[in-house]
Amino acid sequence: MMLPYSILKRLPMWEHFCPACHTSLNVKYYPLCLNCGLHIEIPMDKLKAPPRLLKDAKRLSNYVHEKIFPSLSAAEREILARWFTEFFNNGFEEGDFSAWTSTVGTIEVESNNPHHGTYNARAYPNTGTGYAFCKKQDIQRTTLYIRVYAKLTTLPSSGKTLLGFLQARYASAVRFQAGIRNNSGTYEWALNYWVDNDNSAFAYVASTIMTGTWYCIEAAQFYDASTGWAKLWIDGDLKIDITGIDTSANYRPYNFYCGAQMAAIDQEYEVFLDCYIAADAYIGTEEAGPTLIEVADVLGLSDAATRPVRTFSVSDVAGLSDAALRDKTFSVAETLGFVDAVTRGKVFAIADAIGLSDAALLSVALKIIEDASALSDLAALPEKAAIVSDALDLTDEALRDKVFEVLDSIGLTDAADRELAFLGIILIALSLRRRGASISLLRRGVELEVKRMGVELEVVG
Amino acid sequence: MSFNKLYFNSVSLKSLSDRVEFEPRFICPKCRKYFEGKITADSPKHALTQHIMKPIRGDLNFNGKITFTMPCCGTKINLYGAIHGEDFCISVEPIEPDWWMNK
Repeated sequence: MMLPYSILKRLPMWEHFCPACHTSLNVKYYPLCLNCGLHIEIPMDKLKAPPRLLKDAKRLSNYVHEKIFPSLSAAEREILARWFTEFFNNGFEEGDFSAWTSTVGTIEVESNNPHHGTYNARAYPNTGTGYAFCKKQDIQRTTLYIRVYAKLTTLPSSGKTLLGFLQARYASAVRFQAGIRNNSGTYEWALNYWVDNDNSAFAYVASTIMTGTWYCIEAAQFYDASTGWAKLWIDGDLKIDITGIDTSANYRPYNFYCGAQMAAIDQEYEVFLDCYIAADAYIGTEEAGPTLIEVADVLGLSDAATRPVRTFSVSDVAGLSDAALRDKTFSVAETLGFVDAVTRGKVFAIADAIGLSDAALLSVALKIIEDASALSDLAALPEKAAIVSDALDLTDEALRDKVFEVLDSIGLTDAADRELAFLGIILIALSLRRRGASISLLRRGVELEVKRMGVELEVVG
Repeated sequence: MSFNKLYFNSVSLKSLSDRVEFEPRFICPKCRKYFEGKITADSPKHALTQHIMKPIRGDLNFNGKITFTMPCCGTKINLYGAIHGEDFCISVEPIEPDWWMNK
């Protein structure tokens, strides 16, 4: 059974079992088994197993009806009910009739004409027997919907009705069934239903019916003294709707049949059948499966590849300007310069020259720097040694703890804004005032060793 | 080990010149191997490899429990089979005596 995630997440993930009697434990009473009375000494997580209801459609249906549905709103129930009202669901995918109770006549499971999955049934009512069925015995149902997909190789001859693609019976008595009638050359869908308490009636609707075409046929009947009804849908469209009939006698159907049957059969017929479901609510057509679309254009990196597990053969060249969002290694054909934003922890072979003006964000050691670096360059990288070929003077703004060889002269008129100790020779003449005068140009705590004898300077800090 | 489900994918009645053969084509539930099972009127306990013929066509009127033994692994499949003339039925449950009248 295919379950939508919204339902699946409401189901229990584990079921706990008594180690002695193997019945399901009510965990509220753990460590006591209410069934056998055992005081369990095994930790509860050792007693768990996947819930059995996931393996049994009937248990699953019961669980959902009894446990989940009461907690849902009416609207939610209406949406979810279709998943859990199935009495029987079989598309012959076992490859045999092991899901059914019996077969009569020539009917087989084959893999030549599946509507869904791998297998389908082939009913072959021939002139010998006139019928071919597989039967599933269930319990009496007050409301019963049966849906099947059917495809014919031969349509009924004029005046003949081929019935029983789906059929509901009380014991061996037909309660409702669907088929095709040839009404003097006009093909009609036929619904045979139970009415007036114990009689059989037919209703027909003309339609274009072709061989080699799958039809979704669904019939249903509700059993009640005054509000009984019978309906027939073809490919999801309601074709026959009989209401207000008396179907009150306690002969409600409990046998579900799938096959084909013709009274006084005139020739051999071949009917392919698949996707058989019996339920207490409208079933409808099968949902369409995934559609394979062939994409003819080329996939580029600018395309959003959102699937996590697919590998694409990318034929265009990846440049670093492409947004590479995945942990993949691309063959990069263009040249990488540092002006490119390199945001990954990868090592690239760099062919162009790097200047300090390049924003170098990588923590990779660069060994060859070909252009000259000036202190005016913004050297943002730590622990790098650069050969500086231009002259440094104090007007340069040295932002780092580096030692520079200063070639030009310094005078007190130079603005020395740093707390550095300079050991130098003042070659220019100082226009000194007498002792007690201040040197206004020196604003910091700079010590000057003046080699000129007899002169003392008081430096105002 | 025995099973009682319809582990066959086809069942047919063959009318041959000297006999009628009722043949479920079994798929062993354990080995998934295919075997032709043949049932005739006087073979209620039947091994798949045996062929017991009933030459008088039309007189076949058999309804009973049949045990099939898979030759691959010895798995037994217990089913009920019925033949009446050209009508035939195979079931996991006993088949009612007048089953062919209600087909």
